[in-house]
Amino acid sequence: MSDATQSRYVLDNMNVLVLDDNRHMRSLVQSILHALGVKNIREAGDAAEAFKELQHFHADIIIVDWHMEPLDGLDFVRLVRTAKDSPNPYVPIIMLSGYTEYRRITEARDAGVNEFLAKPISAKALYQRFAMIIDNPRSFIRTKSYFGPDRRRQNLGPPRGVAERRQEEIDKQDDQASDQALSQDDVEALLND
Amino acid sequence: MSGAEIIKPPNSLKNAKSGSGPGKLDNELLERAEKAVQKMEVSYNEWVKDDLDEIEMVLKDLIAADGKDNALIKQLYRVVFDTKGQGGSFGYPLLTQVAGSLADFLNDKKELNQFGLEVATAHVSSMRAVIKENIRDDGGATGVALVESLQTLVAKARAEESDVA
Repeated sequence: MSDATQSRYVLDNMNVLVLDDNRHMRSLVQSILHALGVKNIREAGDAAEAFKELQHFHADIIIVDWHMEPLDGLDFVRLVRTAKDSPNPYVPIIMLSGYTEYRRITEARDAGVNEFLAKPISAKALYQRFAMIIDNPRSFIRTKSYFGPDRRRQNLGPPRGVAERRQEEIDKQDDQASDQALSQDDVEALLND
Repeated sequence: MSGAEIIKPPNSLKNAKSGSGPGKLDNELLERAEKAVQKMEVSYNEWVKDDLDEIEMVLKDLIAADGKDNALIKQLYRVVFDTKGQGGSFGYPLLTQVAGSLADFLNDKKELNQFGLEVATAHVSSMRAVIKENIRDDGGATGVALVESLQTLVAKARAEESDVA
């Protein structure tokens, strides 16, 4: 018997932009997305090219690598979130990276990424990040020092005063930066608690 | 004004799910995606050899420069870091581990001393061996011993560096 309340992800009509300076990584991500049904995929090999692409490609999700030159993935995320000519500051962003240290994850979170996926990636892990984004649309927060998705995922926005205090607490946590490597589960807990 | 403004952006992904409850991963699609990655393993075996060629060439130049070439160290780090990020996706988690160990060692280094170059050489030879011998998964007891021996070398090099400092 089928469960009427069970939803199904439909990725067919989704527009996805993949930004990675390594063409093999781009091929890998593209192969996975194709197999999952995504038809509209654009690739870019550097951040400037990707930002230009966004001017005429309405991306529903961006997948971005961190370690690139001259602009890295974090620079790109900040551009998308805060540049005056950004066509879509709210677009969900998944960051892929071989970096898994605590301080790196908090840096990515504070730049405004929605999800973080540690390399080497698997088809399942990428699919799960898509599911996470689709199931949990996030509110955005604007403070003096931050603009991006609510750094703690909630279905309902908390009262205003609580949100202010929470953001202050998050800002203070930067002092705890360490080089300790985190597992994918730790990363998710950090991004989504 | 102080405080946080909360914004509810339009949900452009509302049509990316049928129904309103939590979604479920489609196992058939997932299997298809995993097969697509498996199919790429043949290509990976080719391109990882190119990456290893580049790593060996850069290391050779770095040795010729007595380890005192920051641009070469950065180049080496970049390819090794990419290898770390790819090996595991194509069934070579041991390659990812060894490359990860070397990337950690090289990270933020301005130059390498003689022992540092030996540490790098040991890692690069191990990476080549993993591919040549087609060592899949974690490599079992051999893999564990390999990683331990490399970690010992790294620890020794770091101890040497802190003695000098």
